[in-house]
Amino acid sequence: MLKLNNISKSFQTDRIETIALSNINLHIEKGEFVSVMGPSGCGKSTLLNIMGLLDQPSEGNVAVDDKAIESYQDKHITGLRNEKIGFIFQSFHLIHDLRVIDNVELPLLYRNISAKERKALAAAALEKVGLKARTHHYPTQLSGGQQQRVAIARAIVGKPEILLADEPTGNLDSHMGDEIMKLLESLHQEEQATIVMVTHDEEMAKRTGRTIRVFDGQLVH
Amino acid sequence: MFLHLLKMIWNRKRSNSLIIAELAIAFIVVFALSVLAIRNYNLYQIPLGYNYENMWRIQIMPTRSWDETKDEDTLLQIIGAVKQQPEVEKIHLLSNPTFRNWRGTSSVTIDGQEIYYYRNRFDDKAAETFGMTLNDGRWFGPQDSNQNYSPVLVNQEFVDMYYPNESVIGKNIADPEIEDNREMRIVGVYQAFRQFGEFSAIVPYVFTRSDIQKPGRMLGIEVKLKPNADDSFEQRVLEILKSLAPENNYSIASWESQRDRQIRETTIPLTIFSIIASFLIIMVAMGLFGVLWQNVTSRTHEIGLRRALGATALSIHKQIIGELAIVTMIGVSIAFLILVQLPMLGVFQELDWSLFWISLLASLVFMLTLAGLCGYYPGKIATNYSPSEALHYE
Ligand SMILES: Nc1ncnc2c1ncn2[C@@H]1O[C@H](COP(=O)(O)OP(=O)(O)O)[C@@H](O)[C@H]1O
Ligand SMILES: [Mg+2]
Repeated sequence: MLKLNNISKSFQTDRIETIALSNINLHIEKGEFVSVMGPSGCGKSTLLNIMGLLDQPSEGNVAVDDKAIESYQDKHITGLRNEKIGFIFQSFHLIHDLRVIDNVELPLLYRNISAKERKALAAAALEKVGLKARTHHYPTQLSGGQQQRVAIARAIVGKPEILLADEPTGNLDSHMGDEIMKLLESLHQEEQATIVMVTHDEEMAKRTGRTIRVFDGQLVH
Repeated sequence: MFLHLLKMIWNRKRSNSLIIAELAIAFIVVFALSVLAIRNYNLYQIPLGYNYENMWRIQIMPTRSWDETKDEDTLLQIIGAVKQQPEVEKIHLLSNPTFRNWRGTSSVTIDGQEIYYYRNRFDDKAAETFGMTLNDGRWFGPQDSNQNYSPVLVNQEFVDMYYPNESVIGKNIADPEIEDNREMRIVGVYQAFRQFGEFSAIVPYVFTRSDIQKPGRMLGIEVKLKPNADDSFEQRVLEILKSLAPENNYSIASWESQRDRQIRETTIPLTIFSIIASFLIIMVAMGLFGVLWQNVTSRTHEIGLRRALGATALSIHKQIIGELAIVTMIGVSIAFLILVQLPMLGVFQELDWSLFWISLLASLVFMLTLAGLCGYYPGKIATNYSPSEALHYE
């Protein structure tokens, strides 16, 4: 359902060109739970950003549902991002000026959905991550683990085809990290969610169906 | 989406209240400047009511008090001598000169209404020579001599202010509280005589009559010169006057030069003021720009996130500009509540409702444009980042 064909990505800063990814070929099947591992700076986040259409590859192409992305123009990819992809970030990226429920609602704001329906879907997503009681709190009133669960609720509220999680437990202690991992596992098992997760933790990687290893911008087998 | 905007604004009320306060202050400054600019522009557009081309004023400056028996004869001699000069086309008397702030005012209460006006005095044919326009009745004439009333001419503003719905011809505006007061009969209404020049307010203004054959105490002689008059006129006339009545001092000046001087005197402070004002506006605009810019760039993260979640650049722009528009309108409304007191309480006579609304509209357009620009450029920069760059923006 998600295919990377000969992807390369380089960053041009001042006069230095950093090659973050080179010649990546990857296929994520529907319903898979995949972990991505590798040392810091090897290109894992870059890989995830390209999968999530947040960044444009320098070479190669991404295909979603067997349709190759031809243009990274705003109007061509925002709809795909909104409907097909759910993102979970290491540092949560919640909007502190919005209540939990309004944060979860955000992706739906960019769809044609009535306010009432948005509320209902957001409440359902919060219930799934076990945060129904925190609906009207502000993010800063929550623990890190709870904030990440809000972020997961936001990622799943629009029922995307694939969840991309970039070190979702990286900012959490091991107990909270384990809770997040359990939550992702249950989403995978009970809702057949397709998940790609970057992690530094071998134990967590073992709990996923497949582990991809990245080294210096390349996949190692 | 609108509800979402309101929510964002409300939840960011701490930083927004600062912006709103700044917007309200900026709006008041811009409003004050618009009022001044629009008012002066409007006044400048209104006709003077007379022509100043080729007009000259001879001012007699006596060094002793007026002597009933001798000085009227001297004045008549002076008039006669000036009239003889080849370049003189017309000669008249006018008490208070044009383009200067010499003024006489009167205030009377008639039928319970307080009537306040500026006054001046001129002779029968002066109005025609000055190029004034008659709206009703007639000018002064010989039929006004040896009557038991004093004829007066009033300007249109006088009528509009005090007798808007009636004919004023024949009305007596003498002070009824003085016993046996001589009747002051309105014989005509003229359009305007803006003695104080182009930037002066429109005021009720009354002329009384001076008989050029029996002028009494009159110190201002107005002459209309033929076009292309000789430059030597000024000097020659001064010499004649000095020889006729050496006890007086004299000055001669063209209306045009007086007008130039007056415009200079009005525009120099106005220019200085507008320079200060422009700095003020630039400072306000920059301050506002800074605050709003900061407001948007500090949200580069948020913008990146929204884009990652599927917002288009357009919807981000709409959100930023929509938020700013709402915040601006809140600031403007606060300023409005303060400013509306001015015409309501009549704090400044000059600030009537029409000037108020026009200035308000001009200031509103200015502020919304400014806010739009302040929102557009930083928004443009923020949406030019790819979502992943925006998310890692420091
Ligand atoms: N926006 C960027 N501009 C310049 N260099 C970047 C950018 N993003 C990532 N890089 C570089 O690309 C390489 C891979 O980065 P990243 O994908 O974040 O690694 P990881 O997530 O595996 O730690 C690093 O050398 C990093 O410095
Ligand atoms: Mg990373």
